[in-house]
Amino acid sequence: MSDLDDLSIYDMFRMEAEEQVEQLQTRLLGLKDGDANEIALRSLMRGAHSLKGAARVVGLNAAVRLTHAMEERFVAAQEGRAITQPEVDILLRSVDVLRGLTVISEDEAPAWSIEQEPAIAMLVTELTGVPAEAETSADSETPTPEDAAVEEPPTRVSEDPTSSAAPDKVIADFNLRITSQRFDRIIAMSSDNLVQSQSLVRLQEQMLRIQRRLERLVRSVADARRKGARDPEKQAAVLNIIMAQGERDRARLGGLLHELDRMIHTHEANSERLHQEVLHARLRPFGDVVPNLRRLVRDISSEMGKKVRLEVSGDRTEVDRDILEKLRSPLEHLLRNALDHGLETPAQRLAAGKTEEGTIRLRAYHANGRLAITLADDGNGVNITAVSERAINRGLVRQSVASLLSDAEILEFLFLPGFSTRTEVTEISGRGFGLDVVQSTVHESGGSVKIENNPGRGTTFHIVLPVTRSLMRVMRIEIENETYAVPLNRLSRVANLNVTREPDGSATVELANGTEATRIPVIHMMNALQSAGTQIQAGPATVLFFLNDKGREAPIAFQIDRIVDETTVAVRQLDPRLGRMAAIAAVTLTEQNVPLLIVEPDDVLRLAVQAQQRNIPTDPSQAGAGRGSVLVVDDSGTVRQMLRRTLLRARYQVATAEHGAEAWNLLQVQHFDLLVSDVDMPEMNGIELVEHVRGNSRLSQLPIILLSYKGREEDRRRGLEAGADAYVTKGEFQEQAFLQVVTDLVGPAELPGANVHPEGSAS
Amino acid sequence: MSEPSPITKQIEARKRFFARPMPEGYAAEWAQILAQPIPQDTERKDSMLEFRIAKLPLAIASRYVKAVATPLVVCPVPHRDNTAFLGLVAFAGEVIPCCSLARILGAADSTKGTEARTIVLEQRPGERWAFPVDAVLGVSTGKLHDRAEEGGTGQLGKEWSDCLFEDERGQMIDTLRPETLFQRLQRATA
Repeated sequence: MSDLDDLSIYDMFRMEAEEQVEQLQTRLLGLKDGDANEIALRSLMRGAHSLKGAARVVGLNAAVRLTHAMEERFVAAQEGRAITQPEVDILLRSVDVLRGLTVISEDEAPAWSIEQEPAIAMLVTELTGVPAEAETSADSETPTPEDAAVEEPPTRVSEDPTSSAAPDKVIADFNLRITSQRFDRIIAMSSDNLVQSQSLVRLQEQMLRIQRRLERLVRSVADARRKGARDPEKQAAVLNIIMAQGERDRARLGGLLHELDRMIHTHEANSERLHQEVLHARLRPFGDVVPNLRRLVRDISSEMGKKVRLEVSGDRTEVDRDILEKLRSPLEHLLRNALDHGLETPAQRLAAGKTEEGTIRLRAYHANGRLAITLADDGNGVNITAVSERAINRGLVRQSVASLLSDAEILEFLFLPGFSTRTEVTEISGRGFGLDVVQSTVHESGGSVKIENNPGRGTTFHIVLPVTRSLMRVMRIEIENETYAVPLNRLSRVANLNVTREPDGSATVELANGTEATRIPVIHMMNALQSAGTQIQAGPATVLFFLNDKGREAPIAFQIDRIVDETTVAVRQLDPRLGRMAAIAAVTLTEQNVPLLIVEPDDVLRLAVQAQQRNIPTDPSQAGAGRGSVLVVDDSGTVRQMLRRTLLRARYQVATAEHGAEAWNLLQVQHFDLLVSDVDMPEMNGIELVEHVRGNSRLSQLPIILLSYKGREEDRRRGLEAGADAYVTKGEFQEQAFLQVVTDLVGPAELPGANVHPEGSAS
Repeated sequence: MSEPSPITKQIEARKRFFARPMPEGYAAEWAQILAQPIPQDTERKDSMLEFRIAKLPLAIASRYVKAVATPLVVCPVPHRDNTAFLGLVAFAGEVIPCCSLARILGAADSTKGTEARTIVLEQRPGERWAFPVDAVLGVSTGKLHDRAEEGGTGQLGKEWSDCLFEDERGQMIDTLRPETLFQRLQRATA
């Protein structure tokens, strides 16, 4: 947060411009053709007027002329000359031009004025019906025809005027605005803390005085004991005096401790309130991003000849400022997709028995302590067959494999870079660079995105983001001597139940459900958090039940060692260098200044299912790789899945990694007989991985198969020269041929059939 | 004719001194001296933090060292166990990744002796790493020797260490190349 004293006049202008530009856009989008109410017009006029005044203060004459023209138009509307939709377009374009001022520095402002001059001149002309004057006089607010200097047609400010990413320049830091009331509260609480700190110093001085007196008393006692033999009566008198003094000090110390206790409580409460206030200062309403989205829907639907209504709910949902910023781009991508791919033309909708106007519903809400956003359209939905065919045509998957994939797995292809079912690229979408960006952006924020497809009825995207900067109520639990924090709002219940071992080796607990009793599988929490198996003992145990992402209790129990306590923690984001951390949402610090990991319940539930499917051996000594163990590395979940299944069917044991760096870490600590790696991956690509392996004395002989979509001879040669034993092109992938290469390199699997998985088991 | 003044005498004496013929070989001697290359200070010196992992003494340029702390409690991270990444530690109110340099170097794992410490490095502002060591031997300024010249006195490969540090006691210690070290720490952390 910047101190206001540190802000330059231009910073202040930029803050005001940000606010006014957003308000102008929101109000303009609300204007119906030829119908504007007095309140809206007054607000628009005031906004343009304020912006004009602010621009004049910083000497931005071009902006002054434009805002003046806008103001004049609003005044005319107040006097009865209604604003038409074409004029709304002009005004929105004017807002776009002015938005440019919010992302440039003071030094760049003069260049902005020169650059935007032709566009501003044209807009002024369009708004006033009179050619605009040239950039010379800031004082003359009313342009005259003879001063007109329009030589060039207006240039569109950006291809996507509403895109928050449109300006190239990004302000590195931001100014955080908070209400004066909140600021006053923060100052008041900070002052309280300061006063309390000073009280603590006073208390410390008093306690030090007592300490010095007690030291003197101890010396006096020693002295009295030494001299006591000669004069017992005097010794008794001295000891009485010492005892009286000691008693007074004890009482005084008790009083001081009581006072200290009270001060600690007050200080804690005050600090917590202060922390809450500061945290809340970071929160912004979700509605902040909505005007841009409305604008995007309006512009694109109009361009495409579609009738679309955007319904937004939850615009008051408070969202961390950082998350809100990161959400802008994904939401814009999803909206473009919905407008271009999802929603039909009016004629198509009528033919399908739908209303002429399509609807996109955007909803933001807090669910289970996380921010949930759904974006649903009532269009055609995703054509699963088309996606599957496209994947086959692009060589991403073989027909035989594609036929085994579920709809959800096929939809995963949509998140691959460059994947699009459109054969034509339009300005709006079709290049296939949208959904992978959405997914990666959401993943970077520690969230997840899912598609729900209803053929003929529409598509819904569910985005869930963890709360990253706030206080959180958690239950601290202990598992194998490690403490973890579990978000309380994701816990359904905690119970002491009797664990039973079933004949198949699995473990269950019995849950009473009314008059019926059901048996629920139970796994040790460590098996969800770690890949190693932890044995579950039959008998009484403490188990947790989580709520799933739909808020219902997940039908699986997690055994823990003990509950430590319930507490409130200050959530910290995980260091981005750590990458995506399975099962962990965030971190906090304990009172002892030790990191404490906060569990991500969705990941835990997903991993638990996988642990069940792996049928983790109850004896940990049986865990671990044996002969025929293969490490598959690919950043595409679908490819990893396909390879894993192929290898499992051939009775190999398979571990997976999402990129080269993760694989390299695994290779250093686990034995593998074969490495199968993709080439193009983040963090460390396949070629680098091969070079690392070949450069390591222990791993240098490890057989390696490189697997890539790149099938050119030079790609193949590059892979083999790096040290790979085989190079397989994904587009030409043949399961039997691939397995033959595997067998040639490491021989047939010699595992005792322990890890043969059923078809469809997840990695 | 009057006696010249003392000052005039001095001036005359100086003139005679400079007017004397040059002694034999004088000019050549000077030419030889001037022709000799000016000895340049080629010694590379740096301030290094010396530490020990198991029995392997190592040095890292002090400018990268943010702090030497008593052993910090490592919070292990699920699915990252048994790798060179040990977990997270808290230092100065920050949560930072902690790696085992011993494992990265392929050396024996660090023990938890009484001399054990945690070193906190900072590659650039805000990017810190911690790693435990068995002992910190001190900070000293000394000469850096090219490994090629020293004929492989050190125990690490050239990728890890391209020069040796001669500390104040005259000991030759492998210096860790910061580029390699931070790259490996980055990979271990990712």
